[in-house]
Amino acid sequence: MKRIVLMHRWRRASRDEAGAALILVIVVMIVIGLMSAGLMAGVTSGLQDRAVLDGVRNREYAADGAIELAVTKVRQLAAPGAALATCGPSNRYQQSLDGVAIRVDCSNVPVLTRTGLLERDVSFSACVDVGVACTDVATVIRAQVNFETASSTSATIVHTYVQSWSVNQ
Amino acid sequence: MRKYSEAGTSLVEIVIAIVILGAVVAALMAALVTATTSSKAHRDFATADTILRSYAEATKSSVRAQCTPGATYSVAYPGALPTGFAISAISNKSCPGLSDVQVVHLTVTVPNGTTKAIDIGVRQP
Repeated sequence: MKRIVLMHRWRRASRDEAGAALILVIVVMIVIGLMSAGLMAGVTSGLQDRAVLDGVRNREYAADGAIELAVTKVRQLAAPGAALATCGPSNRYQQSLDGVAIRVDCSNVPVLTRTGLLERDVSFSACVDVGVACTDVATVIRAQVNFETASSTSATIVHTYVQSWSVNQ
Repeated sequence: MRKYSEAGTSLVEIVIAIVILGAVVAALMAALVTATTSSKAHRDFATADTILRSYAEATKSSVRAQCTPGATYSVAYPGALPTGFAISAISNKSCPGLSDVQVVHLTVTVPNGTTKAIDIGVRQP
């Protein structure tokens, strides 16, 4: 009688374990799948970040080149700009570099020195060209450049001095 | 009620389990290989970015230091290039004119042959 009971229990236990291996495999598969997904998400995120940083670099150098262009154009002007009224056509220059269209807004910011000389300084703000003037937030590079003339009475620029050059983003 | 024999059930389960596990492990290994390859590519691109920035600054500095109207300039990469990387050489290039900027195309080749490039604007000082 005791032997029959033991056999019965063994068979029931045997039936209860049916499919256990498959369940284990499915659990392992899910765990490994999650691990793989996390791994690939990390790699993808890294590569996407690289692309974003490349874009930021291109924008930075495009803004840099556009301001250099604006400086070059302004120094061709007398004074720079007639009676320091403007610093170029519509006080604006545009250039595309590295596939980024950049707008440079300029403004004359003359300074009277303590000795009475008028420093011909121009402020430049470069931002991605979206058709409106560069705002503080959108400005990528802001620079101030001094345009030196041959003498206090001359309007011809002989030297340019970068007084400040800040990269904002 | 008819009773079915359970003989061989465990064997079938184990075989199916091994097949599924094998497929999963193979997928995991493929993911690991992809991750490793991508990680190296990412590192190379980050290095290429640093090289490009250094080369761009060296180019601007060279133009400032060497250029007078009608002169030429050459650019030396600051320091040693990391192994496997190459840059486009700039030697005896005409200086930009007084009234415009010169666009200089800089490229760096990473060890797997991919190139990264940037255009910069330089002007006569």
